[in-house]
Amino acid sequence: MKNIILIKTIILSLPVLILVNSQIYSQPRDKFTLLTMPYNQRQLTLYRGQLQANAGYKFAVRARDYDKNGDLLVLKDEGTASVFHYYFLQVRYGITNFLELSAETNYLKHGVRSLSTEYYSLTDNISVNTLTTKKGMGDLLILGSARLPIKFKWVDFGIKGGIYIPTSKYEPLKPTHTVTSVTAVNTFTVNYHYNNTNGFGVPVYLFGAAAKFSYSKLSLGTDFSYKTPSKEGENIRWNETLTASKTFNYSNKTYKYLLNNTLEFNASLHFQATGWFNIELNSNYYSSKGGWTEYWGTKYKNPEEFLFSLEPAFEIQISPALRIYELAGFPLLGKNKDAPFYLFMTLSYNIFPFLK
Amino acid sequence: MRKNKWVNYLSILPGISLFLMCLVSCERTEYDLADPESTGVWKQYSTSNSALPGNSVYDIDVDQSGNIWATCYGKGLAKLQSGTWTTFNTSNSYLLSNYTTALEPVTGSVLVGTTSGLSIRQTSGTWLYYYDSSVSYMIINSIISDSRGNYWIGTEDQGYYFYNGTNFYHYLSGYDVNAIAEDKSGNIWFGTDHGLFKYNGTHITTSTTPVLNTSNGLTSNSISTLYPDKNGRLWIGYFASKTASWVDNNGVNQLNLMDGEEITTIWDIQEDKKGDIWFATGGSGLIRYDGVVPHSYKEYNTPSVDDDIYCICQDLEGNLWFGTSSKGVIKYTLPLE
Repeated sequence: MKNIILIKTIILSLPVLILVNSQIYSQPRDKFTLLTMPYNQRQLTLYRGQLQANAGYKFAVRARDYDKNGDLLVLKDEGTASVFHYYFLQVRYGITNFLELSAETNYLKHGVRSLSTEYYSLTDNISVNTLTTKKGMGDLLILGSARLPIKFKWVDFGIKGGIYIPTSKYEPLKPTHTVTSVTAVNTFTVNYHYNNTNGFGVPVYLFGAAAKFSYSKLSLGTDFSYKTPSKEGENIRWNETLTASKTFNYSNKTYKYLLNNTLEFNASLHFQATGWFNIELNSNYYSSKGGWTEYWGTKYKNPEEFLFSLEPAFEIQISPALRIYELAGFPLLGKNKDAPFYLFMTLSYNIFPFLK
Repeated sequence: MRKNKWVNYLSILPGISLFLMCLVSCERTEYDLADPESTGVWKQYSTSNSALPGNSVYDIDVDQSGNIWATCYGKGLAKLQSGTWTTFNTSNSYLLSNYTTALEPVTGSVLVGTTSGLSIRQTSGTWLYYYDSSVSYMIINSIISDSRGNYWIGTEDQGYYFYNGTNFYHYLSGYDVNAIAEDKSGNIWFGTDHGLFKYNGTHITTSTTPVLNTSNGLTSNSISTLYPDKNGRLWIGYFASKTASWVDNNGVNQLNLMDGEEITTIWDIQEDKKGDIWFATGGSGLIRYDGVVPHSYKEYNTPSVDDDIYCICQDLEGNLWFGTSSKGVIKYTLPLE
């Protein structure tokens, strides 16, 4: 079996190898020309020696949700509308004109406050509020990208492969529930506060491909990426009991899970209005399935998710070193998935540190 | 130039990695996965949609093979096996009465309490029975088989009977023994109309003084049901009270059921696989206590349930089964968290 895999790998790699060795070319080494290259003339990967640092912020309003039938639910009516804050940091480096390495991570902050619930008896009243937060650093993605070793004029094609290294503290922290407004033994307010964290918990492979077609001021970009977990993971769930003194006792139980495989596909149309301004309309398709989660010793299939969004965006070259990229997301179709409206702004700083 | 060539060769590495990852991911293990859509579902078995002989179910339990047994008051005993109900009554078996009140499956056999004594269906399908002719009536309220293989049978007004495999012994005559339970330490607890009694596993007490009653922490002396949970708490339900109690190392604790009623009778108590405690009540349907707050399931908010529920059991897969006063048997598959 291993020999077959090896032979398959060699055969499938041959075209890439041939292309690589037959398309040696020289790129202009004027760094200002390269740094200010408009989108419609820019290749898929960075240029040799180019270092790019990207810092992004995504603000998402989670006001709607698609259920298992694809029907849209307005979360505001259920009191669970919320906002996401997503911070993103990426460093890319062009090793050659057709090979790039990058590393990225993120920080997520999100809180969902549910509607208060009241429990009555004839004389007593328990109020329950629930706040579920999710925050923390995400995993570290190390990614390698390669493109066809030809000079980009009209068509470009690249592939990428990488791995999310589980650097984040993915297990939920101990809840911090409180009891307030105690006026009688059975009249009080329970404030549940669950503290979830970010990250996958297991290494996750990522691979994908991208293509770009440019003609005059118009460009068409497509890319897909596929994520698949390397193995099953283990996590914990917290349980709580309320004591007579109105404090909480916590215990946790471990469970196993397998993350879904996720497929993401983008297709975008770009218009290079001027040398420093590019506008874009992207369509994003997200699909996720194939995983499971263990409950009480039984493995349950994870819900299949999908989401289709339209994303108008623009890019402005502010200076030779600095670009800004702004994107807005409008979910249009989905299933078993939150449908947030989002704004994603990225500042991109580009230099050639070793080129004078 | 040579350097460039090496760099060019290096550039094929992502391609190789990509295809290796494709091949590796194709070799993933296949699992037999449960469908999350099957959870959080109530399913009713009644005389109108199944062969269940009666809709008033006093007791329900599961045997070691996963079959569900239900006592249908006035209609005998029913067994659900592979989706089919089979009925045992006075006309096709040696049940002492069709007025069945309690049951206890024991390694292939089933002990059945009736309003006229105890019937035992053995593994072979033959029947035994016991009726104490020294008493004027023998209405059985509860039965357990303990970890030593002894049988304990609680009755209405006649106290309880102890069977050690050879002989029956009779104690606490004149008391209602409504509930019997064995805790993790092997102690046997008796819920009576005079409070809580205890057998410590070494000798049978003939004392008529309870170990717990209203003078030392109980809400009422009229105990309707007992349940020892996995955390070592002994839960106590009462006739006509607005609280349940539990006993642990710290003493007696009270739980307000928050069901909006002045008084409620708790007929049965069961812990589910999540660790939540369920109460079957007369008038208040089901109450689930998650360790913090009691949640109510009544006909107005859960049309599948009955407001009068007599009994609960958990099957081998962790589903809950409820015997109701007029809606037959209800199965509930717990929702995912």
